[in-house]
Amino acid sequence: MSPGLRIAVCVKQVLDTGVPLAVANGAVRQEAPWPIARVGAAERAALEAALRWREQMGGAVLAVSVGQDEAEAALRLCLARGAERAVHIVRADRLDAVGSASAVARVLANEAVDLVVCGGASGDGASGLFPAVLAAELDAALLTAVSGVRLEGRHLEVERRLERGNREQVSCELPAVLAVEPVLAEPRYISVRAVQAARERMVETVHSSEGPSPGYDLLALEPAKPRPKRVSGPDARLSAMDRLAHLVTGGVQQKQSGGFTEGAADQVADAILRYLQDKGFVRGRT
Amino acid sequence: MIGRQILGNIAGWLQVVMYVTTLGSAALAIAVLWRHVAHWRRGRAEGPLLPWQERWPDFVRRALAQRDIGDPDRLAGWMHRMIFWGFVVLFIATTLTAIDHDFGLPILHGPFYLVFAFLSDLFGLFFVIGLGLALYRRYGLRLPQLGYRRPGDGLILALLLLVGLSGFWVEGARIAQTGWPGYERVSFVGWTTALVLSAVVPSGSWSAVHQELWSLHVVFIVGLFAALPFTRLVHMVTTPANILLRARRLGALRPVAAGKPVAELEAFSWKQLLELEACTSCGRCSSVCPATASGKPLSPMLVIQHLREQLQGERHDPQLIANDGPGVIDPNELWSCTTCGACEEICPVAINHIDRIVDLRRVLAEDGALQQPTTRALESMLGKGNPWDHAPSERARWAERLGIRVLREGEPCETIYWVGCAGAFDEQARKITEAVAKLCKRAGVEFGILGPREGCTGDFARRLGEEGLFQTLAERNAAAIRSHQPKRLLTHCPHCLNTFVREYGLEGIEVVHHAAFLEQLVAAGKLPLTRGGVQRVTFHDPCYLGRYNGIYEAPRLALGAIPEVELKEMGRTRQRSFCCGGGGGQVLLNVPIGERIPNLRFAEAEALGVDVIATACPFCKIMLAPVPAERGVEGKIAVKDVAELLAEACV
Repeated sequence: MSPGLRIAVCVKQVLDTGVPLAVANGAVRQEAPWPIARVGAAERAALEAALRWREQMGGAVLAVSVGQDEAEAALRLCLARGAERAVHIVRADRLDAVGSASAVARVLANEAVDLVVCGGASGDGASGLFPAVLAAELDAALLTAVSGVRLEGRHLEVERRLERGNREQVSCELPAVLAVEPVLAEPRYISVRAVQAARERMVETVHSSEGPSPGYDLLALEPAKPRPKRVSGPDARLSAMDRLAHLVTGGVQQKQSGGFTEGAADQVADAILRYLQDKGFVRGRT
Repeated sequence: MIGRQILGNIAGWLQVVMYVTTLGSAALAIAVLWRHVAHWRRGRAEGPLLPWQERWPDFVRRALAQRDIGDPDRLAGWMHRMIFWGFVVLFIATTLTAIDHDFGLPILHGPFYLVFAFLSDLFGLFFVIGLGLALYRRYGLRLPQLGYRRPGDGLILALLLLVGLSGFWVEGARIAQTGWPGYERVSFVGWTTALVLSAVVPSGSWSAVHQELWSLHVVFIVGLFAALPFTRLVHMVTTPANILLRARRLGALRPVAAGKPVAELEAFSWKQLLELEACTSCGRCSSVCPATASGKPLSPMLVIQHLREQLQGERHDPQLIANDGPGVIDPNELWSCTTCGACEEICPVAINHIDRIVDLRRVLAEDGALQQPTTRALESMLGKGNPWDHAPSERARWAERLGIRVLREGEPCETIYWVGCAGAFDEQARKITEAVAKLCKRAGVEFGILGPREGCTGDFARRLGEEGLFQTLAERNAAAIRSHQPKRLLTHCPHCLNTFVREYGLEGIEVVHHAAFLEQLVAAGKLPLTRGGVQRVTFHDPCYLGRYNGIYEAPRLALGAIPEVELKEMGRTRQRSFCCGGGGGQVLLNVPIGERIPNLRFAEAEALGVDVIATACPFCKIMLAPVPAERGVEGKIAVKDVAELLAEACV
């Protein structure tokens, strides 16, 4: 048996969405007279869940964040909440989710972690890409939309939240990367005194200047250009129910889709990839 | 020769036995009491005691004159006074007898003896009647507040009564045995007892009967001495000591000790531990507690008594707070307290319940054992300066419409109107703010507000146990206030008021509550109140205005100045006001157990048949205002602040 679980939690400092933004001196600034560190709701749940597993099974929690000074504030929050260590990956530039995940993966590769817990989506960008790239780089199982976890030894059983309130139960062996939902764990309250005490704690720093790992290139970023839709009024001869349906759907009877693919996971994945390539969403790397 | 025969009829060996047993049991009692002192010494140091000019008059009033004890239960008051004064006079009488006999000073002779004998009998009679009342209250009426029983409760009442009764038997037998001297008629109870006894005692055997009754009397006294330190009779020592060593009053909370707070008896001060043993479990605190009355799991008396049991080794819980696993106090007991102070106000023995409850809340808060929505409120207080997640920049939104001056940092201003979070953001409370601002403008008072630089004063944070948050908020706010060098800080929130006055230390700045301020403006004729209309009004005393800061008259005077207003008082008013249920962070906690406290208070006002419940606290209004709609009497009874009523009357 291992002496305990080595858990890494990835956090990102975000702006408090409840505080309005203001433009001053050519910069967007938050009008917070007393700024405090914030991480997204999903990441708070991730940290809380990690701390609870640590309390039950022993081990240690390592908090990781990428960025400039603001990342340190997020890490101190993690230390105040009970993380054993905090690693600040210092970057002068702003990385996107793919770049951040690669940078974190390079650090975690040396830490021999059993479990990485991330928020399913950060509090701001919410691309949801970070955990997937991290799992790929670490060659670990990826479990997304996690709303419940049972952990026994190195066996992991996870409840995933699907659409329309459906739930899916899956299991795997560690190591794994979890992308969790905010419902996973209600974060504990951390007193101001504990936060103040965490100011004395050490945050380890790792300087990173490399670009993102090869294999992921951002080719272009195009803003969405939605075309105006022609919507027909409901036919007066239709029944009331049909007219309602017409109004609600905008007259579209059935959504066009790439079709429904069934089969083993790798076959399905191939089909999805082919579809994406056909439609021009993805290039190369087949 | 008029005088008292002392031990004249008692055999020498019996006298020796008497001296040995009484002195021995008294010595034993003192030795056991010393162990109680060791209990208190487990506690930390206490802050400075109140000045002696306050403590000694309080001691005389409470302990000697027994002034507060009959409030509100007059029967209980007279019961205790009769026992206490009876005991004291009999004790003095015994001491005089001992001085006369053992030191050979002949004092019990002549006219002095006649006065002595009469008074001894009179107070002895009081003593016996008082004990009869005590037994009647405990075992006849079976009062609910006496529901907490301790071993020996019946025994000590019986022993005290038997000591009193047997004293009269001995006296009667002595009168008969000494040949019925006529002057002994002043010992009217003893004389009567002698007459009754003579119906059964043959005239030749008085000497033997006297000696037997005397021995019985001694047995009871020895039993009483022995029982004293082991039963609630120990309050004869601990309670006067507690009153005399008073260190704190309702208002400011105890400062935190260094380091992480812990839930151990040793974390309390010696005074807090002494209080545990000074409590007589009379139940007055719980009978006025809004949490108890609404069926929440808190009884202030049981908090004190359960802690005492742990201190004295009557219970052996592994921890003080039953947070995870068994403990002395359930967290829900702690979270049910509204810190209204009714318990401390009524406690006849000057126990401070609230800072003890908050001390234990501090442990829970540091342990992170706070639940939603409180957690979110506290985090919002830190980041946004208000408990409801509103953006700080929205704080002065109400003022824009009214053209109120929002101060820039450092801009000097004589009068600052401190709006508070409720006053700025809550729909009900904002009506108070607007009324106060309008009235001030009408009266020509120049004032400014801090707007976005104002933050929650931290009263709720502190009373929820989040001391670090309170300190942070207090530093910020004090610096923001001082930067304007104000002379006066006006607030309509008694919680802000109390925190400013007692916990911020804003020296040189007068903090004034709007009820008092507006009343002064009315009295000075600056606010012409001409419009009537509202008729029957009752005033609900906010706890932090009345009990905490002693402001009772100003709001009533202000209301009385409104034409056509008829002020009616609720049964529980002024010092005895019943909390709205919002204090101590309850607005943010909302313990979902039992009846809602504002409903109880509203029902009281409703029974009075009033049109308006007036109050002077935004949180009282927030708690009480939704009740009429819930009870289906919307439009019949309104809940309004004094300022709103004044603004309506001021054309």
